[in-house]
Amino acid sequence: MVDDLSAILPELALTALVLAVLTIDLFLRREDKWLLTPITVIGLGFVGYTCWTVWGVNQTVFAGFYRVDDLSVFFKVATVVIGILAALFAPSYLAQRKLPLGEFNVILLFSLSGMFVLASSSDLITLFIGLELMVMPAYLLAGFHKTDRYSNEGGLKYFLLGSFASAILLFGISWTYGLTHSTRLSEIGGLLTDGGAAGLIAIAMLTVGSTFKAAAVPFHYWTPDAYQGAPTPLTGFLSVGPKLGAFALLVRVFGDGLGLSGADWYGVMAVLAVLTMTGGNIVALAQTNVKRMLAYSSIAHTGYILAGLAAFAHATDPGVRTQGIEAILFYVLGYGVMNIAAFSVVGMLQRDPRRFGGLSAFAGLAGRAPVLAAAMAVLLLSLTGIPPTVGFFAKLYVLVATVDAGVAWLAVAIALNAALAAFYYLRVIVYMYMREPEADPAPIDRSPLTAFALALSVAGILLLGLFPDPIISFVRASAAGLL
Amino acid sequence: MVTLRNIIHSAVAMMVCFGSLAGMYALLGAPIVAAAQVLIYLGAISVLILFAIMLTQAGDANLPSPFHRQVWAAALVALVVVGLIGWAVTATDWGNATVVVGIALDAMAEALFTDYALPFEILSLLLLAAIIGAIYLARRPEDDERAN
Repeated sequence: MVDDLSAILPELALTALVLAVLTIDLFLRREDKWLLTPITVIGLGFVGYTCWTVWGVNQTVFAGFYRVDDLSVFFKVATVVIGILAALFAPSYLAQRKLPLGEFNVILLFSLSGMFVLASSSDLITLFIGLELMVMPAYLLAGFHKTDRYSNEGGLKYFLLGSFASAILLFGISWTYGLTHSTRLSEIGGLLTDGGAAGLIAIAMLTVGSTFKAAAVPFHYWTPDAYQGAPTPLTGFLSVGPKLGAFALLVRVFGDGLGLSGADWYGVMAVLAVLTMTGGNIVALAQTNVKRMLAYSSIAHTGYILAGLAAFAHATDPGVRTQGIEAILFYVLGYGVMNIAAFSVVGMLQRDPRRFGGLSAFAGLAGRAPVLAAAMAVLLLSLTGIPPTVGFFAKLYVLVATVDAGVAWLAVAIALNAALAAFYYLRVIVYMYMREPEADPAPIDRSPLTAFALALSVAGILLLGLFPDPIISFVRASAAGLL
Repeated sequence: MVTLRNIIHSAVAMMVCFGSLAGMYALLGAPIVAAAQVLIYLGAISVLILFAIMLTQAGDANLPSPFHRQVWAAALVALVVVGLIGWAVTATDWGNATVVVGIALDAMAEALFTDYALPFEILSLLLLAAIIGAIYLARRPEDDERAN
């Protein structure tokens, strides 16, 4: 047993880091602002370290509002990894556009703290506040480039539709409370599914609200515009950070809360999963702008992860059930690293702010920047799901989970969709290696910091693809915390 | 409120909406929430919205709403949702949710600072994030460059 405050040590450390960065930013001269990046990154490293101090604690604290278990530790560690990558990828892009680094770091850290709260919520109240704490800064990051029309549009759309989704979720929570007299996730499950018509409405609203945040079809309309408008490395964060949080929310609400009545909502999740992966992939096929293509493909990835949740709902054997959750965790982490890095490569080709990251910018990249082209090729192969990358094991994990759970048709849908996705991912590789560069090629950002972060992500993707055992055992131990 | 063309009229209609909500809270045995509703929504937020409209609208406030083209689709969806909710409300046994239970002010205050301490503190973090974001968005770009 640990006391309440030690149990939330990671949250306290992260909050302290936010306030520290905010204060230090005030006292730094303009030429010293770069110091904020190492402060943020090292601080996040320390926060990641504090996550280990609550590993294995597995208890509910603060009068039942907060659950510190191994599952939450996994989500927090994944959050820290994504946060560090985001903090490393962004500075050079921001500097080229004269956007302030201090505000970026502070807003990023706020969003991460919301993801921390989401991951540990055992009550609908904390869950909702955590969600808002995560997405409010995310709206800001989408509209971070204030003088850019597209960024304004993306930020505004994200904000309006996101608030709408939050309102639906909140309405669902109020129905839940009216019906069950409780906001505890551990108490609402049985009462909701026995609740008749009102229980159905409540579950429907919770489903719509939370899958909206994860950008599942048909609730995905905000995604392409918000992702395309945001400054590119920030899009990388937006496409993985809030998505990680949304899946933490889904795992908490549907795994913790409604887990035992999985058979009731399995159908909805399975249909949503197939709609999402197919819808995202088909529209991504038609895109000629790589940034927009990656935005749609991130929707498709949501579909694969939802398939893990459907497998969890359908399985009856406890071991197989956890496998669905394990697949979600593995996929979310692997996808997070590869997608944020892929977006940042697009950002590196936008050193000239007038470039929009079209497919032609990648033409002949292998001749102009062989290392960058090779890195991008690895990322795209990983997103496609080709060994020996982490993307392969992520897809494999979901496939195995669905087959073991007895929903083989879902596995077939995933395999077909992966083949569909290969077409548009490999098209970029064809452009890089087999096309002549355009007459006026886009200048490449060669800042050492971005290159370092890219090397780190690619190395991670390859290493975890070759030796996935440590991460698999981490995922297994974390998922065991749920049931 | 949503059918009016003049945005000021819409804002005033929204105030009526807020006021009726406060009445509903009072009837449900939550006078504290009702008072907060009047003070915060009716008093502060409505005035703030009116000011925001006054400061941002150049000249004529009678701008056509961009949503007016979809009015029939919206009406249809709204009817379906109302029908579903109405069905759910009438078809459900609400148990003792229909019993009005009041809570005393001191009990609420105590709960807020003991059991609900953590959500309360996280809310303050959320407000801080919102304030910083609002300042960043409202600041002139020239000041950004000076700050950077």
